[in-house]
Amino acid sequence: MKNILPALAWLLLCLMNFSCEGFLDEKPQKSILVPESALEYQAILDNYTRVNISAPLPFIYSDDFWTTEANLLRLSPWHQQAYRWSMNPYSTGEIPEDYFNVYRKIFTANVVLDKLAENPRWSKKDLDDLRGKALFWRAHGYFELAVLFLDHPKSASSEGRRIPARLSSALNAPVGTLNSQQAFELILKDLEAALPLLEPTTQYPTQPSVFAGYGLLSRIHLYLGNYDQAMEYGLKVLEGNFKLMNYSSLNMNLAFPIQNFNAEIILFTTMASISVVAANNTAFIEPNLANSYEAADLRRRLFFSNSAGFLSFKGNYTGRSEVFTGVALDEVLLNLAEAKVRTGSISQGMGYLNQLLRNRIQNFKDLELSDPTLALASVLDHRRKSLVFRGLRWMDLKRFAANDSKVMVLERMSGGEKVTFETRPEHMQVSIPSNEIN
Amino acid sequence: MKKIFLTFLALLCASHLILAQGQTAVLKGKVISNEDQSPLPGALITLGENSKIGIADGEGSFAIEAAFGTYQLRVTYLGMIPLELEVTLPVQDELLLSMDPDIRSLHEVTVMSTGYQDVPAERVTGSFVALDRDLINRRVSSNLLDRLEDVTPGLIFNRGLTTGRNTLSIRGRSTLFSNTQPLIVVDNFPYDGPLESINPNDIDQITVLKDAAAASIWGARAGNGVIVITTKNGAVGSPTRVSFNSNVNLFEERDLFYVPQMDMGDFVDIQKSLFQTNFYRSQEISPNRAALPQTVETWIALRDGKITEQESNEIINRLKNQDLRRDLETYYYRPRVNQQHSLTVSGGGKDNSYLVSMGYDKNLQDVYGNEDDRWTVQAKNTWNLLQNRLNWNVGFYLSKSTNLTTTQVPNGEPNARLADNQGNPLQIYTNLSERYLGTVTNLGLLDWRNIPLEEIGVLDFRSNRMDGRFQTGLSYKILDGLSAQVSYQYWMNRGRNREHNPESLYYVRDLINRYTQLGNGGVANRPIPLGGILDLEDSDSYSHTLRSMLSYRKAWGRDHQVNLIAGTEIRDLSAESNSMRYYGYNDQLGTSRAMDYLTRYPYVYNPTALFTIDPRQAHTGSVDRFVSYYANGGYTYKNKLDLTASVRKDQSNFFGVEANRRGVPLWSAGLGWTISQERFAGFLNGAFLKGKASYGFSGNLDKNLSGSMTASYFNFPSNSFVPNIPGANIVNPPNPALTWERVRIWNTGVDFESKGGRLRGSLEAYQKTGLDLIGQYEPSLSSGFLRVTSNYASTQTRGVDLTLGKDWLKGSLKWKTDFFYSKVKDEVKVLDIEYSASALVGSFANANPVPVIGNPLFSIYSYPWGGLNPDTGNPVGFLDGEPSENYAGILSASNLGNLQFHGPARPTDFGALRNTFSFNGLSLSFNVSYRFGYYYRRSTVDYFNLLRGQIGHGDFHARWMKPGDELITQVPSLPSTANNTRHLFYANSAVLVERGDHIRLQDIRLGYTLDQGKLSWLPFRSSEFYAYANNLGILWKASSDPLDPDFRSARPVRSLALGLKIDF
Repeated sequence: MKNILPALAWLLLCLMNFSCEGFLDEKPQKSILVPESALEYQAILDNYTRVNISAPLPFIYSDDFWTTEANLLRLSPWHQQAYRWSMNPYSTGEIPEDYFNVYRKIFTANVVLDKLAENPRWSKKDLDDLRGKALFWRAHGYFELAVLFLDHPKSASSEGRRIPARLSSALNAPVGTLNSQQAFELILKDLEAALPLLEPTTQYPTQPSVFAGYGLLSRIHLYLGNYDQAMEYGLKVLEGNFKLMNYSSLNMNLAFPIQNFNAEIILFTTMASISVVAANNTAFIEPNLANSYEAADLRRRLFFSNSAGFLSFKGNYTGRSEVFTGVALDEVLLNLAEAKVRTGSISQGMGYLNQLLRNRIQNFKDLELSDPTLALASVLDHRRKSLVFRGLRWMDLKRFAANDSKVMVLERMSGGEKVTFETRPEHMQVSIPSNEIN
Repeated sequence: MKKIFLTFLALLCASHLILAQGQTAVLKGKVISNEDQSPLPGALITLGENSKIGIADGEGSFAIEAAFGTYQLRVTYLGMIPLELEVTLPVQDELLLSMDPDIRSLHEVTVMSTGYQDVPAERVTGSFVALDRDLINRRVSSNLLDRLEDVTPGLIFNRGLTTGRNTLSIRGRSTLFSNTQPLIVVDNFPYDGPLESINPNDIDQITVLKDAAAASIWGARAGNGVIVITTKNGAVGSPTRVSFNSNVNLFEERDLFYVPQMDMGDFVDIQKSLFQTNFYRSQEISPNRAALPQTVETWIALRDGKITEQESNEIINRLKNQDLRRDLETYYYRPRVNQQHSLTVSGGGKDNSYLVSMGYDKNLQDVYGNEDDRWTVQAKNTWNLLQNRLNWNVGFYLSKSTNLTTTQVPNGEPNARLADNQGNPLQIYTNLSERYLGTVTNLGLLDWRNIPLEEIGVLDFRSNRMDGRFQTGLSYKILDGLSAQVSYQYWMNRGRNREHNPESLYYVRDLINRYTQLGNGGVANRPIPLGGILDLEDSDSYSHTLRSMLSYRKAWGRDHQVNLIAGTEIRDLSAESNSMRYYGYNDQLGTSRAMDYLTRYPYVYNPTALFTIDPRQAHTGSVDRFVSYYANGGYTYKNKLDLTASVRKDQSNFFGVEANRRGVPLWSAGLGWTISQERFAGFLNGAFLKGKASYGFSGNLDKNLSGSMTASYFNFPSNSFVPNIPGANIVNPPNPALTWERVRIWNTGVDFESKGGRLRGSLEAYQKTGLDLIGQYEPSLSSGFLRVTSNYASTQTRGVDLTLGKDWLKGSLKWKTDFFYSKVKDEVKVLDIEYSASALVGSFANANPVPVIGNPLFSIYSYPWGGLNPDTGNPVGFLDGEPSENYAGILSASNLGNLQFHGPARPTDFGALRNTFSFNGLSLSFNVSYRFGYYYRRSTVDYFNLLRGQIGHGDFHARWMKPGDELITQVPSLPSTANNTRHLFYANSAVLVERGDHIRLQDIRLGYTLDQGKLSWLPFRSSEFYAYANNLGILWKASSDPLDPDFRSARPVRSLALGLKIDF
């Protein structure tokens, strides 16, 4: 009888031992993914809605469009404020989505970079590819932040605006801040580090290729006024397999004659949907701009439609009504044209412009301008007409103000009164929520 | 391992060899009740240490064979005081054993069943409620848990908008966002299946465990309380008993007019003015060809000269008198009828007992053509082997339920017309406009008309569910007092939802037409092919639970008793479901078509909208694993002092990151003191008085969280640019410190009973503190997260449960009253997030709490109300302390400080009073329940949506219309334009908050019992005819609001059940 107690104790212990080997390591939900493989980190970067969606603020601040009071009311309160060019659009209690969404993209990139820092046992190809893409998106995010929330480096005052510097995904990691100068150092460093790692082609243009890197660098250097580099990176894009669409060969009877993943697309991103653009034909083109297209200019017919007596935006490079904010060959050619003209190579610059316009305007006769001022004016005029509703106008206004000291006065009607905004460098920084920087 | 088993088996055999020796005699006797000399069939007679057992038969007689000698004879019978006497065999005469009724135990179920052990009520130091068969069967319902309502102190069914899936609360809620539902244990194992698959007729007893001493044996899952359900068993040595129960429950028809709606004529006038201000213009010309109300289509036709003024007026006048709700009541709704039948056969031989039961429920739902049914079968047997040293039980339970839907109630304009005056079905316009549909009739598209009445009975949605349990257990008495048990349960649940939408359905025709690609003069391509659509969803879950346990019970003299159990438990539950859709399905041939889910197709009516075809594929899977160790001990001193302690450690696969966070040790301790047993208690004059106190911890978990950084894959929506690459969302950042929530519980109480038992009751006070609760905080936005969850919050709940029972009359006319009162007050203690004013005022309709430190978890907040502007009828609020009509300003300046806090949104004081009368087999009982101390928000007219074309609430007619009206109404005037901020202010203002306090007559039960004991000619032992009426109505309420405070959107329908129960 005395043997029984120990025997039973053994029995119980056996059960306990059985329990401990791996039994409790099973993950509780199939749908929960604790990312481990390169493929899973790839999926995190392929999350279109978190990575490829741009903030609408630069578009709302642009002078591309106006809308009626009734349509305006359908916008979020902070977007209504932005429509009136308030640089402090967020009221208390509102989540500043544009700010938050960009930082969420940066977080997503940092998650991948942090994983790579652990030296996972993946193939070199996977390691390089993911590092390249993650660095690209982090730079892309900081560039968006810089254009919205920081001064242009050329006009930065000594104290300057600052934004949080998130270089790690850790929630409680110490956070420094970046001023405009530091932000662009980071952006350029990340992008230059990404270039040798990025592939020349990707499965979808929603994923960054090395040409997307060149294209973005060309855009950034143009913003900074570094025209030589803007040119240098623009030329590298031309080595890629991108072709201009001839607008006259498109089927104008289709609702959206331009396909979303067309031959000009280098990087595909879109702007967060806002109601005035979403299929309601209620974003009306700024009248002076609308009137500036010639009759033979196919861009007018392709991009716009008549709605209630006004010209309204129909859609262009997304194949539907959303606003395309990615990098396309037309933008790169315009960057090249502008950079060449600004650095004195006027005929070369006009060459790029004519190359574009031949595919945009019916029976186009090449422009032959030799006067630098007229040439630049022509390039900028067509930049505006081509890149309308592309989310680039605010960046352009800001660089014109900083690089060229060109101040414009924008006007809109809102709340029964005329609202004006002067594009002075000191006016063009959005306030970030006060508790974000201590 | 092998060796151990062999030793074990050898020991089992050895114990069998204890032999009886010498001459034997037969002891015969009869057991009767001392009260009326009636026999007590089923009384248990045990003879001596070796436990020779006999059971009294139908006449109360028994016979036991035993060796000559002197024995201690013990007779027990439920509700009688056990009888003990010494007998010396052989005995010549038949013994007449006359038992006295045990007054106390007649009123109280004598054991607390925790699922691990049964503890006599006298020895319990914790808090529990036990419901016996009579109380469970008092109500008629196909659902088991309903039967706990209004008879269980501390337990409340939450009602109203904050309920969500949190229907039950036991002593309030001690978590913010984690699991809120109590653990349900059926036949000693946690129940994984849907409770709907349990037949209430199979239930013997329900025990609700409320405090740490009672529940913490269930450890990390006991934080919300535990409900222990025990099914019926046969009894050893009892003759075969057949019992039959059948009832039919008739419900009232649903009342669609319960929530007042504005007059249709006024609504049409509003539509008219909207039409005149071009409100419908953008929809009229929208590329989506959206359907417009019939009235608007009529005015468009008039405007465009397609009909005359007179024709238009005729249509409009008809629409002004039309109400969709009337048509729905005529063509769709019917009174619900539920029927329930069950048959139970039980009994036992010398060494075994068995029970077999079957149940069938069939419910005709309140929509024509929709019904559900349930079959349940259970069979169990228990063998006592090796001279009662080894006990083996086996049980099977199977339930099969089917739900058939053939009709769906249509949505439509509030004055849509489903049939003409002759009853011929009519077309309604729900998606696409009449004007558009008129232009596409010759294109070769399918008939695009939506005629709801033609679809009554046409759907074929079936859901089948099979739920099964298999249980077996071995219990072996090793030594006197020491036994070992091993028990195992396998559970499985298999379900299939099959929704066949034939091509004749509007839903299918519409989908096919939308995607149809038109070519020159007709249909070029149908990406969604002709034929039906079949949706299938299969789910499959199963669990294994294995428990091993040692229990030890020993008494030293009369002074010391110990009772110990210890064991381990392993659980593994897996669930999986897969759903898929087939297009072009032909139900006769069983064929479907391969599909292209990648191409984006333009809709036929709006080429600018590009959509891929929805593949409707989904897969889920989950695994719950637990490894637990537990022990519980009780020590009793002189039958008056009880000390109990329990400890349990649970580990699971939910918290994986740091191994030391995986498990949580939880413990409890309790003390009970039967004061009436003390010598100095003479002043009690024979009354019973016991005090008790307990302290301890139980746990809770949130299965949706994980300590690792987790992501989830998703499919891009059908309109996405990249439909076919996997994307992943990061759901939560790494949180290695994530762990179990804990609830610390204090409980103290007294149980009392007067001498003779006419008055009895208990009073308990408790405090529950939620610790390490998973709460949210707002990190810096630049972290990429709006909210982060972690274990840091805390809540506190305090309350009192009081029960009283009183026998007013005894004798042939009996009258007794049972009463309980529960008080629950909860409060948020620690929190690190401030919710916005709009979240706070919106919390009245939120199933998740919007917690604020110092306030109840569920609270009602509102904008302070400044009355109506006497000149305009505009609602007036306060901005910076001044009356204001700047609604946008008021909303944005509101915060916790300047909102009005009314109080809790859930009852803080509740209970029930039940009176039972009985006379010669006739019994009548009625239950009056009450709920006090809470607030709710009334719904009202929504001018914002009204002025955007949606019909409004009946308050419209009480609105301010002219100066002076502000003295008689608080409903603002109709504004000239849709103003959302004005509506948001009014709808969330203090003027709409009402007190929820009310008293209702919940139910009445009338029964008539025929008993063979009194009427010996009856062909059965007893039978009962009963009638049960439920939801009888409100007796009193604090608010003048005509609607029921607890049922805001639909009236609780009254029901009347008639039933018959026969025991053979």
